[in-house]
Amino acid sequence: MRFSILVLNSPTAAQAGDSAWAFAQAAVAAGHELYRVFFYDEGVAHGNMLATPAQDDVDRQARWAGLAREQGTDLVLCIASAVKRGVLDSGEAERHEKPAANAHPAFELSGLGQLVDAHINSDRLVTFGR
Amino acid sequence: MAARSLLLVFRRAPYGRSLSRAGYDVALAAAAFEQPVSLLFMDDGVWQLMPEQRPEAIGARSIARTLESLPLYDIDRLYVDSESLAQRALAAGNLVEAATPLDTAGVRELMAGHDQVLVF
Amino acid sequence: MPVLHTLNQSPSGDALPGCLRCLGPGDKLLLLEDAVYAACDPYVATLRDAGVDCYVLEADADARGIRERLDASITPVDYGGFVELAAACNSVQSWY
Repeated sequence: MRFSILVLNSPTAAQAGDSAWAFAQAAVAAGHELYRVFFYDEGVAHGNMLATPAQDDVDRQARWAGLAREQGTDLVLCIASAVKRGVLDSGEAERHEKPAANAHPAFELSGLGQLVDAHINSDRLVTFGR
Repeated sequence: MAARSLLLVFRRAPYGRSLSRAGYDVALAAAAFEQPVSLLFMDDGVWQLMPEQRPEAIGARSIARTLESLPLYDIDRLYVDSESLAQRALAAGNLVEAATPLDTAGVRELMAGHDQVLVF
Repeated sequence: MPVLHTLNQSPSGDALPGCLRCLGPGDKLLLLEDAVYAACDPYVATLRDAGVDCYVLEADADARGIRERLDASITPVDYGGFVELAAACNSVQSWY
């Protein structure tokens, strides 16, 4: 079965991102396909490469990146949500004349069409929000 | 293109949080990809339908105007939960955009009749 | 066409009543994160009245120290169980 996940909260503001991760891992462990994880609204903070976890905290970005690499899962940040919240890839940084890009390379900035695509092409779409 | 119907449920009051506007953007994206999309307003979401919103008072973009523009994108299936209206002493007839009132059984039927329900 | 409803908000919030009202016959309800308190007294009576199979994410109950308070009518599951429930139902609807 093909799963996609929608994440609506930042990793620091709510447990939702961690729940999404645990679900993703369990889905993969059960042999399912994880098609896409779409980070929307405050969820785009998951892709901010400058976020630095405390020494005794989990590196959430690294584990999403690892999962994406192993499973071929798309990690998508909604581009509109991301840009307005200051998570930019190099293209957007240049377009908006910002001094730096900070989107983690494992995450792609793209439009809501990717969420609609996940809705159309997944067997299950599970939301983690707050 | 395959079509999977989508019901977006708006449960939160407007302007206080970003999530409602996020829901409308999903509606517009789904319609752009020719997916059948309906909107349901329940709980505090019914406040989004208030007719005399003046969001310029707080420097916010108008949700009422977004609602009014939805038919331009062929989004015209709007529903409102009657119980949520009654709990807030609101009347179905005085809302910014024509939304079909539903009782609880109707709400359940609406949800069951869509391939996917997303709550905002 | 059963739906798996997930709820992650504490039962003292406003999501639980709306969620319960929208449950259809055959639907299932999974409590996770702060919603696990709904699997205990005094909230669990309203879940029993809902007439659907209810589940609670055991890791969230353990984290919050309420495992012993979970009502017997609510089935504890791990994330593997959550995935199974999602697969067994037609879709997943999340309340938060």
